[in-house]
Amino acid sequence: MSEAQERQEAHLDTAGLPSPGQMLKRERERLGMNLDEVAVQLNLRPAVVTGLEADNYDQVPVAAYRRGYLRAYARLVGIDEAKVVDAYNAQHGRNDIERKISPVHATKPPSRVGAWIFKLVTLLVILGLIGLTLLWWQSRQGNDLLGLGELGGQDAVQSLDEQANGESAAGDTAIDGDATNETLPPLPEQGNDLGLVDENAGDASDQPTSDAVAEDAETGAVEPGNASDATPPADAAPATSPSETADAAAPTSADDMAGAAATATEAQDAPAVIDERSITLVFSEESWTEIFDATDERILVGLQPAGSQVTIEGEPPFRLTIGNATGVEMTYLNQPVDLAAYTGGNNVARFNLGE
Amino acid sequence: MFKRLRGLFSSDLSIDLGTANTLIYVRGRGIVLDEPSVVAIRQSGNMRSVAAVGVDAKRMLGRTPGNINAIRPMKDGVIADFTVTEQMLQHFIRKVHQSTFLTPSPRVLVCVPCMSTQVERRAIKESAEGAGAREVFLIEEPMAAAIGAGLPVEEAQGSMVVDVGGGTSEIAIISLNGVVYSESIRVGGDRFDEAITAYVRRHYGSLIGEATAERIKEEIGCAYPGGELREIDVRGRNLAEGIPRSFTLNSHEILDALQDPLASIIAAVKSALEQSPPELASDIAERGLVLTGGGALLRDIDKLIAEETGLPVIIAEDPLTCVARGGGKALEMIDQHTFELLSSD
Repeated sequence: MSEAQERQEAHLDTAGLPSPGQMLKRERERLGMNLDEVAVQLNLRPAVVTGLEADNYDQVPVAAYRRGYLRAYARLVGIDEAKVVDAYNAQHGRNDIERKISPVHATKPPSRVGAWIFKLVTLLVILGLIGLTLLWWQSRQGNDLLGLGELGGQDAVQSLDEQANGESAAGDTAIDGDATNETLPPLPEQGNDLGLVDENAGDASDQPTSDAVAEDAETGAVEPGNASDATPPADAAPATSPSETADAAAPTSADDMAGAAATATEAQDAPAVIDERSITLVFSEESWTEIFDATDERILVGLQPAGSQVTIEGEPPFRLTIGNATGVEMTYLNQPVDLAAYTGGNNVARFNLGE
Repeated sequence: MFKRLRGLFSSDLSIDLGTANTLIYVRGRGIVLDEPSVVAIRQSGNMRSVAAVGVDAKRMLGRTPGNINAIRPMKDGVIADFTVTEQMLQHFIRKVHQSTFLTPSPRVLVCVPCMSTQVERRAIKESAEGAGAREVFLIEEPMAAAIGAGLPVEEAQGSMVVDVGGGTSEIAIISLNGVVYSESIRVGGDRFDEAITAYVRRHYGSLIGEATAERIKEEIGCAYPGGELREIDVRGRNLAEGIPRSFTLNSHEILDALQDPLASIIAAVKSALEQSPPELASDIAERGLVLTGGGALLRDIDKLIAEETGLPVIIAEDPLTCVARGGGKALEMIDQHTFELLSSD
């Protein structure tokens, strides 16, 4: 109690404001009420009222109730309750309520800073990831922006690429055999259509002298082609590779047919050697094209105008990327190459040639 | 997933979804929104769109043309119109997040009347979720009010709170972070307004609107005789003549008009005291009960309750915002896992 009085006196000296108890007591005496009357009116014990007037709050441990009693008392004697509460706050501060309720207050400021840092770091990480993803797309696509965002198409092209690799691997061993016409059908074979192969074989056999031989060559070419199509390429490769002769090149077909095929390729031997290094492209529509050869040299790159024709030379095998594939006709080894087989959903063909 | 991401950019909110007013407390910023729970709906053909929410909509109440309908989506402390409540909440939640970069997805604590049913609680929870909240916690209104008033709820001592809101009055005895006894009656500020309207019609033969009744209550309403006599001039439509008439009301008449709803509140308080365990009753007799909510602003209501119960009666500081502030404090304690005041069902 004496401590409270000292504090109150010190406060009086500095601010010149009366303490809440003094204000209430003065007003009560002015109205001529005694303590008991006030206690009855407020339904408080007389000891509590005495304590309020003496600024001794031992009877009322909870700050919320102290303030409440002071305000109720102030209203009763008709003075401004805000003044009394202000005087109380000046003496005892306001923070006792907060301290009472939640200890979280103490740790809140650092946690808020932490939350901000967390938000910032998260944002940076997200931005970084987005940036990395974009970079990855760029590097994966080369400069081709057509394929951006078409994941499905991309996958399709890749699987086709692999298929093509398998096919041409099968064909490669056949080239080892005799480097002829016979190796050609597997490429357009992608169409899986006997009629298409017939046409191709027919085109190829325009040059042979006798029609009869061409007929034989046709069937000879188709048979191993079908065989390699039906069985996985891996199967076809070992079947053909051990044999260096044309006889063994088509083990599934009859011997006479294999012989006929050999005669047909002899007729075409000369032009095939020259064609192996060159590719001819005819652009009926504008197309972005990029071709690498075996030495990884870029032998053709850029946007080709509609109606142009390009013939390029390089070391096979070639790695090609042809945009707008439907508007491009391609000829390799004097054979038209069916680009549709390599084309993904975005109309971009990616494949290897001449392996 | 996206809600969680957006949550990083949203603040936690405590919402006092009241019948009369909706208050929002933002963690770390205090009370940022205090608007009437009113939504104005514009009907054009089959399209219903929100014309105004909050203060603007309240101004339209009772003054709307045919195609606009000003609705109070909350009634008696619970949701009366689910979709409109959801839109209102959405509007308010957006309003307290200034940033428009991301749609806010805050954690939300909503105060519910203590006697509300499971269905009513779920409706409130779902409408908060529909308004974009990523997590919804519910707290009983008297508990939030007690925390907001600064009562020692976590101590082994009884504290009694009487929260007179717009639609309901909640009476609760709280000890050790739990509600020992609670009672909710559907009498509140709205019932006071209705009582005034009925009184004016009976004694003056005139019809006054909701807004006028509320103004009368705020300016001259009182709950206990003996204060100074106050008067107010009001205008209403005379029922017999059909013409708007002006007349004067005084505070005694309003006291008379409010007798019925006040009697219900007193009866509920007495019944709570009767049913409280003796130890807690002794604590309450020692310290008294605390009045919160808009009803606590009715002149001399503390005197009336003190007279009727013989207990000390305290009006909480800033009684209108007590519940929202208490909810805010509870929100700050959510992260402490020991906090058992909240239910998420």
